[in-house]
Amino acid sequence: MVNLLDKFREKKKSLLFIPFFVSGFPSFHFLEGFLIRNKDKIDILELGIPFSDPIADGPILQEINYRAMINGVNLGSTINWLAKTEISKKIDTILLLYFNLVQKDLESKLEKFREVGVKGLVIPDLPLEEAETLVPLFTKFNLDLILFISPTTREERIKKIVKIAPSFLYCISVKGVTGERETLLEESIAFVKRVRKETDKPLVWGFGIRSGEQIKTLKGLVDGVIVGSAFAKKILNNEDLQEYFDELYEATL
Amino acid sequence: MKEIDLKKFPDERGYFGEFGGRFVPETLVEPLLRLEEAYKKYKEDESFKEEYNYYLKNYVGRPTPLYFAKNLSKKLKAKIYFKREDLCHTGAHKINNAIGQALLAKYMGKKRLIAETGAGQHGVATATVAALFGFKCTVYMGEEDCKRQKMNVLRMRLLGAEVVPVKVGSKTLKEAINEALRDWVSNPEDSYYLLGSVVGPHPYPMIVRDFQRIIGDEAKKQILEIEGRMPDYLVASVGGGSNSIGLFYPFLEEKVKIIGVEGGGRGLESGFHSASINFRRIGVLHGAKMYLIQDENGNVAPTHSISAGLDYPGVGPEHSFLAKIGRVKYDLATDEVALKGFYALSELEGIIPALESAHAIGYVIEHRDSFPEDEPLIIINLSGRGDKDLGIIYGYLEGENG
Repeated sequence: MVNLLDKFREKKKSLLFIPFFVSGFPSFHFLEGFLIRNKDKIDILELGIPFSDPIADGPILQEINYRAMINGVNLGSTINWLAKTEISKKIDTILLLYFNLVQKDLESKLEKFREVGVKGLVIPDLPLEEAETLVPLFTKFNLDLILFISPTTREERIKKIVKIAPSFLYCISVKGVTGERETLLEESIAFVKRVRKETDKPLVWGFGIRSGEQIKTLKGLVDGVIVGSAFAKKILNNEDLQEYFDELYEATL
Repeated sequence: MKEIDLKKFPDERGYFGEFGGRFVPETLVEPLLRLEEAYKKYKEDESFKEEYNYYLKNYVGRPTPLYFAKNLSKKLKAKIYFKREDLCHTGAHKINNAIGQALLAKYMGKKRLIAETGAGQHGVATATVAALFGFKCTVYMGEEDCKRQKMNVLRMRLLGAEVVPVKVGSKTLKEAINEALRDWVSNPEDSYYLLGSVVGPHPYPMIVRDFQRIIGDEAKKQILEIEGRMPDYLVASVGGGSNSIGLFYPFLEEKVKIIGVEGGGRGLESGFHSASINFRRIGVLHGAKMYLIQDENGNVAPTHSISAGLDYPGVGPEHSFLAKIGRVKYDLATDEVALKGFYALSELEGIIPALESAHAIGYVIEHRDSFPEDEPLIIINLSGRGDKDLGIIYGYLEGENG
């Protein structure tokens, strides 16, 4: 079984490509087709579970969360879908979900995740203090708990987070919510350099990515890049996704 | 039962027993840590305390009276006192907290206040202190609530605040808090998030409680002066829970029975209510673990109350804790019972109460027989005045007649 950290260590390209999609949107069928078709381009799939109150998300992902939720997409239906399809067997898959979706019966949920081949979890409202007591439990189920660092995180906390982090680190590149940004800010790049000095663990850039140009400037700076809202916007507007997806993928090579 | 020191909460991780905590995106941890540090520093600061007390006395109009409701008492064969928070400047207890936190923001050097509001009372209180202390101010309010509370929207705008209608989801208080948090994530340096209830991530439940405990501190002193003894009961309505914790907190270690009244809407079975504790499911929303109205999948469920101020799916972590250990009894009053309280106080005492407070009044009227004392001594928190609710009452009367 490939461990996510090993995957970064053994990477043969500049950046791991980590596209993010909200589960079941626009439909399970569409998503399955797209993901399986592109399985060799996706280094890690980040799959979001719709939630009623996604406080870390900007307008595009809020809208999609809401639409998917009222279409009946939830954690249970996503797990069933993963169990039935080849997605998490062919692509290393991590789930992004808000803590309320798993806080009840956490152990049995983690067991389920493992069973259907999920490799890790990203929980945007679970900062270090709440996460650290859960790390042993995640380890027990062989799941990676991905921790965050933000431009506002103070030095002593950065040191603590990188020490405890059981997997790669999710660097929130900007102060704000998810969504595309025109340019990569100087201060975002300075922030990632600051984190780089503190750790050898893989760093992944999240928030704000919309172009291949942006991705290229991140080479050598981080180990992977997450793209979410930019794809979501294409889907939301019924625009063709493949060409754009390929452009961003190629930028990570 | 082992004695629990009820005054030692929250612990240093921000927990009240298993409730509370700090479930927020990493970007907000730093501003919350700074807030906690500043609060610890200034709450002991003499000039801060002096300024807070000055504004409470001269601007808010404190202390508020503890009023003996003679006619209602006679009718119910009880001794009923009302803590008159409705007489505060801006018409509700919300201003106590707004003054305290705005001063904190001033001492921290912030330039802008962000707030959420449901019925508009906290938004008006925040817009008021923003005008008073010279802050820029943005208030998030659900689009539905903007429609229901047009006058409060106008009040806030007159006070110089920018009111942003929130158009996603249920378009009420819950979404307004989401949007305020998103604003704060984007502007953590210059902006201060002035949260209006004892909910949210640590240290908010503690800060808001501390700025509201003046209600109970005054009531305790007043009842001892008037009656020479502790009351048998305290009763207050509970939405997020700021007016109730304000009254309850100074009495937690006294031999006083305490009842919190949740918004029962059309009844617990109907699915249209906001009685989070009585719904008995625990969850995490807006940064804290608490009792939370949610569906089987963990999505926060829609709520209902005739009173916009109680229409919130969660309840403060300290209330959740007090419920769990059994120190406070949490019951509910339906819309209908609240209306009974609303009319009774208007007709018998000449006071038109806020619909939130009317839940506590209606509850006492409805449950008088279950109070075993011959003449129980009861303090009810009259958390706000009813002017803001006249439109809703008007709609109800129209509905009944049509």
